[in-house]
Amino acid sequence: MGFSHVVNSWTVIFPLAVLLYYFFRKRYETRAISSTLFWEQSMRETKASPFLKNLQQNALFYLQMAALLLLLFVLLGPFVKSEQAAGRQIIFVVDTSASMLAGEDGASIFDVNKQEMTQLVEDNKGNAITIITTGKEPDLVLRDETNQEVIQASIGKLSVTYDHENMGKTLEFMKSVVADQSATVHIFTDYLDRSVFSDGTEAIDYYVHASESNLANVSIDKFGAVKTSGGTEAIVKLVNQSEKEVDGIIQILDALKGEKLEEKKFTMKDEGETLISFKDLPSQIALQAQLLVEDQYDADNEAFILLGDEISDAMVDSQLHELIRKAFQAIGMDVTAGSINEMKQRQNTATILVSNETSFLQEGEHPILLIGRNDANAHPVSGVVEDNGDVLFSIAPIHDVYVSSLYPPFEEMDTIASIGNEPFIQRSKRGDIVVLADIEMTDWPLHPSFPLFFWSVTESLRSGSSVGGTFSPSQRKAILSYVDTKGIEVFNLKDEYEASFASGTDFVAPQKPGIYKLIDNKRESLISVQLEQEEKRLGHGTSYKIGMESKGNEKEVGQKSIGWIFLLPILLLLVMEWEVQRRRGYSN
Amino acid sequence: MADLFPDSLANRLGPLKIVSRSRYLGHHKGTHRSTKTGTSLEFSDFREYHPGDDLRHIDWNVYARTDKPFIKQFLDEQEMRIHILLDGTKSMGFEQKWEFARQLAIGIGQIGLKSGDTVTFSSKNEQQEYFFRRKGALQRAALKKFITQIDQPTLPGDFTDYALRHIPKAVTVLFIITDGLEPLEKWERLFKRLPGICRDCRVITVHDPFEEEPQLQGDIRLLDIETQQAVEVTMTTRSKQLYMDRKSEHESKFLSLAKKYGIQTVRAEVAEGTLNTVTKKMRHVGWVR
Repeated sequence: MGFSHVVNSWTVIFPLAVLLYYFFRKRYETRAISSTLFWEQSMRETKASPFLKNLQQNALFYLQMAALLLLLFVLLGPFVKSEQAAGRQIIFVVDTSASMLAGEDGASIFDVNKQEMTQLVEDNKGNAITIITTGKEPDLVLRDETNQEVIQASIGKLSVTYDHENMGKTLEFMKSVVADQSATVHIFTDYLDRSVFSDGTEAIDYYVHASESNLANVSIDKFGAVKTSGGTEAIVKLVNQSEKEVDGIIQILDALKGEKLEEKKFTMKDEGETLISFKDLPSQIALQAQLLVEDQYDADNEAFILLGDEISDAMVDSQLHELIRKAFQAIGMDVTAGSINEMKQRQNTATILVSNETSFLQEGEHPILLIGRNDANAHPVSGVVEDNGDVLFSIAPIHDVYVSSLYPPFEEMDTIASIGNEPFIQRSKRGDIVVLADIEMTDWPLHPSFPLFFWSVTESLRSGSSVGGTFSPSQRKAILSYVDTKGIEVFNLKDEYEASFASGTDFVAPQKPGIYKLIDNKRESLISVQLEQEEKRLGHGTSYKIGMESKGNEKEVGQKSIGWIFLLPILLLLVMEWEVQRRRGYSN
Repeated sequence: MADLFPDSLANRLGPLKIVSRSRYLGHHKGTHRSTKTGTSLEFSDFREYHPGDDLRHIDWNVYARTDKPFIKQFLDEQEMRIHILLDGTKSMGFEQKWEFARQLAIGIGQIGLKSGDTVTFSSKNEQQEYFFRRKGALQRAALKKFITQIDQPTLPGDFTDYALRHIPKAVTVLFIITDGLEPLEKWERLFKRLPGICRDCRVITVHDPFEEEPQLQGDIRLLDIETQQAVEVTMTTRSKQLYMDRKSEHESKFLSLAKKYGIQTVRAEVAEGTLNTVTKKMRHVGWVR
């Protein structure tokens, strides 16, 4: 509680004056008399107990004091801070992950949350509202907006991004938005553990709006497919998260054309898992698994897979310099060291082989990276490295690399970088990249371009296929674009435009799971967007609030005047005073 | 210190005598004629002689005329026993009440002594009890001195509680000098027993003018001299009137109570003075003559 007119406190002199008056007035003159027999009797009528007597004798004083103090109190303009504190920041943290699409009776949790938000905005008219959506990259939809229409429109536009909520990251982001102010944070999600708030600041009150109903869900937990000599084999792992036994049908479709290839029925126990395999499927680039089952979460009833030459790891010849392995590790690939025999076994897999064994250029189906030659001797060279503007050097120029000696070149290959007239890096028709020097012969590892070159090589070897990779929703991941790129455009399988990016480094995967086409200067490749594993499970929990009424924080609070409440008692006191005066009579 | 009881006052009271109809008189010779026959000069009656009577009392003149011996009888003259009980409680010390009360006591005592009666006086202070018993006119100065020395009434507690113990036996006339400022119930208890001790009880109530009409203004904390009880009173005409109503009610009840037990009362006011009180008021009610 506070006072809006503290200036009026000067009126305290009025009650003080009355107090003083009573000080002077009630100084009894002591007088001894022969007997108080008759006086005593005359007073006995109004004398009950010493305390009451005192009260009675001073009743007028107390009443006057009370009335004056109350008047003073009213003049000071008392107010209580109203519950909807004006000026207090209200922040909506909206979970936009795919699991928010789950819901009963056609209304998803997300829709329910939107309604709640709308209601809250109406209840807190005039308050600044900030809306933050979750995800790998939390988004500030609104910042301190007070306009009701704008807020309502923004809430209406909110949509699910399929991206995992990354709540910890989002809350950190929210805290940076709040800075040192106090705020009321409403978190709209399906489930949030209280431990998230263990280091909560006092200034922030959290209201967690969770989904309280336990929704039934059957999801495609994993979907994998491999090419075989006879076609394609696929395996689907289904998980039943409901508490009932579930029957359903699993279909495998050609993702590009939408044709049904095969379907199987299944029955799953409650909380059970099952593996269903499909053999002898026709060769396809993209497959879709479709789960036909009655549950309350549809987004995880589809899964996509691309059957391409996706590069997942690298195997580096153990004879090569260790820094090559380090370079692959630096770009985030799994890398193993292996002998020549081991590498031969992996020739037809998705592994990049890095070796100085020239025989690999003739063997196997996939291009390799050859560093140095084991069948020739190097000779000293001098000069500056020049490249021909190949895609490999688009992000990492190698002009400043010093090379002391080179191996003889392969005649039939294209030279993409040279020193003087001698080829330094070559590319074969098949796509093999050949570096005609050992790492020991150069100072390349000292340059930033060293790991970037390996990244470019990886992307280049990968782009040889028509498969661009697998992404999670809204994943930001650089892809290698061609030197002559005019921007990358993204279309869905119905050839509808989705997005475009000026270069491969800006690429952000689409939100909705599915298969997408990337078109870069008329070259087409496919990517798949898949739900993250976390989003295939539904959470539910109770709503709760954390952190009440922060103390010691200066707050702009709404003032609710309560002065009028005291007017009635004052009137009552005056009436009582009048009555006391009337009964007691005026002292002479 | 001025003379409490000047001689001029004593002289004025000199001719007075205490009158009592009480038949109970002292055994000693006095100046009051008794209903009994005795040796005074006042003729009472004749009666026939019976053997054994004193021959000296035969009225020979009557015998000469009637030839029968008659005894001439005279009334006896006996003394009265007068007791004066002075209320020595603190309330009697208020303003001039004590002085006035002592003057009254001396006055009554001297009247009694002068007519040859036995006068006893008793009072009680905080420290000691006072008792005086003398007979004869010559003892007047001693009485005056005795009473004058009782400087202040300092007795705590109520007069009515100790009064009975200080009244000697065989009292013809009992004078009680008090201010009557004690609850009526206590007075009643006392009055109930007084007729058993003395047939002729006389209560003189002493009143100070301040008590009659208190000249007080504003807020006064009234302190009872005796009980030290404080009463805070805002002096208004109304509260004063209430006080006076209470007081007169108390007094009238006191009077009717006294009357009920055959006790005579005289209201003595300081303002009227000792002389007036004795010569007019007491004479008027027939206590003295």
